[in-house]
Amino acid sequence: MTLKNKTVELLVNHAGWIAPLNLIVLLALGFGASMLQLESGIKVFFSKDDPNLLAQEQIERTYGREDNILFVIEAREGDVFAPDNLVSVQQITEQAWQIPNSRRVDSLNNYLYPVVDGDDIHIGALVEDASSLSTEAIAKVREIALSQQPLTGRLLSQNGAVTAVNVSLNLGMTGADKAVAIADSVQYARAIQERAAQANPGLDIYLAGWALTEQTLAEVTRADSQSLMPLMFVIVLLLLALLLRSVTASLCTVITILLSILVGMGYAGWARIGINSVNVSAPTIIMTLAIADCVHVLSVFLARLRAEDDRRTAVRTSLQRTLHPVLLTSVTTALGFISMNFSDSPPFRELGTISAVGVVGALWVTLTILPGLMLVMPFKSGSGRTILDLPMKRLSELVIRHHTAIFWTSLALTIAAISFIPRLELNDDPTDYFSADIPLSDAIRVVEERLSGNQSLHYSIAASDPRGVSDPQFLASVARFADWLRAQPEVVNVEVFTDTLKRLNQVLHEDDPAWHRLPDSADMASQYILLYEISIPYGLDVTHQVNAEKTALKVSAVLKNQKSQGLIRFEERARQWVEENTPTLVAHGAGQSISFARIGMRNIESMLGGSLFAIIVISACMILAFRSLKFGLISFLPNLFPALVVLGIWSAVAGEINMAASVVFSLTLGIVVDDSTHFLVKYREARLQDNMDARQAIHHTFVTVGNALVSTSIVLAAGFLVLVSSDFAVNSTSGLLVALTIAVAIVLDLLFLPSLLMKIDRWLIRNPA
Amino acid sequence: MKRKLSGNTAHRPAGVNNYLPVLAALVLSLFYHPAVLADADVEKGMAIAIEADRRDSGFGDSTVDLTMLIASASGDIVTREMRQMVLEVANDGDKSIMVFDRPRDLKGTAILTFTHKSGDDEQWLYLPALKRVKRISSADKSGPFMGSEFAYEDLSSQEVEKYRYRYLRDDAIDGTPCFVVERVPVDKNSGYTRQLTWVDQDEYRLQRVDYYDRKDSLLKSMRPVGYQQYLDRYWRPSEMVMSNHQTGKSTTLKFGNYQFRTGARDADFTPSAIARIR
Repeated sequence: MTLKNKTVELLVNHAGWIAPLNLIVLLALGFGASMLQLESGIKVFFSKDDPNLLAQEQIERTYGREDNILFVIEAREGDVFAPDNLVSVQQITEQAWQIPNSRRVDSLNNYLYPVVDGDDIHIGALVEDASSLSTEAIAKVREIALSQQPLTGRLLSQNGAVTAVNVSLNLGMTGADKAVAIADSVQYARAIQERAAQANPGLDIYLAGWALTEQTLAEVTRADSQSLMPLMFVIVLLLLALLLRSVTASLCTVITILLSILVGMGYAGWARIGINSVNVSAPTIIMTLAIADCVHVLSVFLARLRAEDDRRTAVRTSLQRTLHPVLLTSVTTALGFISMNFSDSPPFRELGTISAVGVVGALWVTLTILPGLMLVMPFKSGSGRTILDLPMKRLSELVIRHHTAIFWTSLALTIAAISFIPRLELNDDPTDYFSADIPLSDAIRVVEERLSGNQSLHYSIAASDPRGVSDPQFLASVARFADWLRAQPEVVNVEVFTDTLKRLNQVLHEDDPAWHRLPDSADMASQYILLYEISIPYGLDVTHQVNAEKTALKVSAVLKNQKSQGLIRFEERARQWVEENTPTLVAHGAGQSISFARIGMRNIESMLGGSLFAIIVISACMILAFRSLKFGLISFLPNLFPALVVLGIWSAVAGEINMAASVVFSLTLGIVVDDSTHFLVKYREARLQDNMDARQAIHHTFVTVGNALVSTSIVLAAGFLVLVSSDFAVNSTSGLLVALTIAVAIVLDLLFLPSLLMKIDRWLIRNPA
Repeated sequence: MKRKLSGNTAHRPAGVNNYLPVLAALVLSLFYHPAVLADADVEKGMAIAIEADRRDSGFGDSTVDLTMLIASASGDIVTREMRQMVLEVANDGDKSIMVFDRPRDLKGTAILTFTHKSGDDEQWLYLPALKRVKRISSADKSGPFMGSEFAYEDLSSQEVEKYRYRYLRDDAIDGTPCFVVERVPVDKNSGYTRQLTWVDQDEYRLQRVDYYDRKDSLLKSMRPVGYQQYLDRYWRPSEMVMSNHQTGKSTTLKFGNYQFRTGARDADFTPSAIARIR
C-alpha cells in the first residue's frame, strides 16, 4: 500500500478519535484569538528604527504632536467676516478648548496680533469680542486678516469665504487607549459642529484633520467588518450551498473555514501579534484556501455518494483523489506567504506568517476534521445530479479543437493587458480614501478646493551657531527657504517663526512698515522672543515653532493637489534647493503626510515584490513536487498572469492604483495557485500514470476538477464583489481587483493553460506513453 | 507686600497684619455673593488663604537668584538664569523686577510688574538691544515662560483677591498634614479653570499645586521643596518642580541667595529705573 493510501486509511478508519482529538488541539490553539489586541495609527507600519518615523517622532517630541481636528467653516454668502459668522467662529474657538485631549486652538479670532500705541504694545487676539465689533472694526479686521501670511491658505481662504478652527490634540497614548481618545475628541467636536450649524444657518461646517481621518477609518472599517464581511460570508455560503446542491456540505465548509481562521488568529494571539489594518486581511486569505480545499474534497465525495457509493468508500475515494493536490497547494501557498517576511514593514510580515499558519490550518482541518464530518453529517445521498451542471465536457472539446487559436488569442490578450502595466502609477491619494457618502470626503474637498491643502511637510531646522535660532544669518537662511517654499505652485501656506519676528520688529519700531524685516542682531531676536513669550496665552505659545533650547525652528508648509508621489518628489526638490541655496541648513521634510506617502509607496513595492517572490518560491516547490523542471516552470505562468492581467486592465482604465494593488496578489495567491495546481496535478496524473494522450488528459482534467474550480471561483469572486460597496477606497478597490483576478485566473486556467499544455506537449513530456 | 516666586505663594491682603480689613473684605464679598453665605467650606478656604498671606506679609523687600532648568525633548537640560526683586506695597499687589542674566542674548533684559488686587497687572519690558522700555499689555499671560512648564501667570504674585476659594479636605504630603483648598481664578482670561492647593497646617506654606486646564483636565503639578525660614518668619523654598502631565515634560526652578530688607525703594521699581539695572 502506498503512503498515500495508508494515510487515507488512517484518516478514514480512525476519524472517530482523530476528529475529536484534533478539534481539542485546534480549539486550544484557537483560544489564543481571545488575546488579540487592536493596534491603530500609521505607526504600526514602521519598524521601530525607520528613519521616516524617527524624524516624525523627533519633530512631535520637540514641537508637539500633529494630530488635529479642523473645523472648516464656509460662509454661504461668501463672507466669514459678517458679524454673525465671526461670532460663530468665536464660539467654536471657545468651545474647541473643551474638546478632550485638546492642546491648542488656532483660529482667525484668536490669532495673536500685536498692536502699537507709541511705547505701549498690546498683544492680543485679532478679534477679542466678535459681538461688539463696529462695521469699521470688522472692515479693519478683514483687511488685517487677509494680509497675514500665516493665516491665508491655512485658516482663511484668500477670498474670505472659508475659515477654519484648528484644534491640536495631545494623543500620545497608543493602541486601544488612543482609539478611545480619538473617538472622544471627535464625538465632542461633532457636537460642537452640530450646535454651531443649528445656531447659524448661514454657515456650512465640516470636520477634517488627522483625528477625523483615523476615526473615519475606524468607523468604516468597523462597518465593513460588521456588515460587509458577514454579508460576504453569507453570500459565499449561500452560493456554496447552491453550487454544491447540499446544505450539509455548505455547513461542513463553514466549520472548516471557522476552524482554519481560528488556527491563524489563535496563532496571532499566542504570538502577541496586534491586529492592524494590514494583517486584518489574514482571515479572508485563509477563508479562500479553506473553501478551495473543502470544495475539492466535498465535490468528489458528493459525486461518489450520488454514484451510490457507501459513505465510508465515498470519503476514502475523495481523500485519495484530492490528497495530493490539496497537500501541494497548501504547502506551496504557505511557503509563498512565509516569504512575505522579507518585507521591511512589520504588518506585512505578520500578514504573511498568520496566513501561512492559517493555510496549514486549513489543510489540517480538511484532513482531520472534515472526514469525520463527512462520515457523521446527514448528507442526502443520490440526488443523481452533478454538483454544478457546467458543460465541462463540451468546453474541453471546444478547447481541444481550437487550441491553437485559443492559445494565441489568450496569449496575445494577456500580453496586451500586461503591456499597459508600465503606465500604471502607484499612488495613494489621501483625498480619495473615502466614498462620497462619508462627510469627511466633503470636508477634504472643501479644504482642497476652497481653503488650503490636505498635505503638510514639517521641517525642524537646527541652528549651528551657539546663539541658536537668534543668529541673524540663520534666521535669514530660514526666511529665504520659507520664501522659496511660498513661491512654489504646490504650496498654499508656510508657517514659520521668522514672520512673527518681522512683525515684532515692526511693532517695536513704532509700527513702521520699513522695519518689517528680521532683527539685525542675535540679542534683539532673543529679546523679541522673550517679549512675545511672556505676553501670550496658554495654548498659543511658540513651542510648536521653536524648540525649548531655542536652537531649532519648525517650518511647516501646506501643499494642495498632491498625491503620495507628488509629495515625495516635492520633498526631494525642496531638499535639493536647500543644499544648493542655503547650504548651512539641513532641511528634511517630515510629518504624517510624508511618512504616510513613503510608507504607502514602500508597502506597495514590498508587497508586490514579496508576492512575486512568493510565486517564484511556489514554482520552485512545484518543480520539486513534480520532480520536473518543466512542469514547475509551466506553473509559473498561470500563477503570475492573472494578477498581472488585472493590473494591466486597471492601468488602461484608471491609470493609477492605491494601496489596494499591494494586497491583490496576496489575497488571490491561494486561490490562483489552487486553480492551476489542481489542473496540473490532474493533467499530469492522467498523462503519465493513466497513459492518456494530451487530448484525453485535458478532457479528463476538465471533467474531474473543472466544476470544483469554477465553483470556488464563482463563490469567491461573488464574495469579494461585496467589498466593492465599502466606503473605504482601499477595500472597495481591492474587492473589485480580487474578484477580477479570480475571474481572470479561472478563464486562463480553462483556456490558456490547456491550450499551452497541448502546444508544448512534446517538449513537456519527452517519452509519451 | 508679597513675594512672588517664593513657594509660600502668600495669599495676603495688602500690607495689613491684622484681620479687620480682611474680614471687612470677606463680608463685603459675601454680601455680593449671597449664595455662598451658607457655605462653610468657602469661608474656611478663604480663611486659610488669608492666614497664609498674613504670615508672609511684612518682609518689606527681597531679592533672590533663580536658575531655571528646562528638560528638553531630547533629554538635554537648558539653563536660564535670572534675578528677582520684590517690593511689598501697602494696600496693593507687590511690585517686582525680573532681570535676565543667562543666556547672554538676554542679559540685562528686565521685566517690571505691578501686581494689582483688582484689574489687570501692569508690565514694562526693558530691551537692552533697543535701549528702550516698552509697556506691554496683554489680556492673558498663561503661555509657557521661556519654553518652560511655568507660565508667567504661575510666577507672578498670587494676591488673595485673584481667586475664589473653597476648602475641600485634609490631606498629608510626605507626612505633613495639609489643607486642600480649591481656588478658581477671578480673571476669565486665565489659562486655568481651577487649581488645587495643598497648604500645610503648621506653617501655611504651599506644598503642592495642581493646575487644571480649560477643559478641566489635570494639566500640571507644582511641588515647592526645601523650605527654609528667613528672618525667623518667612518660609522660602529652595526649589520648585513643575511637571506637565499631558506632555510628560518638567521644569525645575532653583532659588538661591535670598536677601531681605535690602533697602530697596519705590524709586527702584519704575519703568525708567529698569533701564539702569545691570
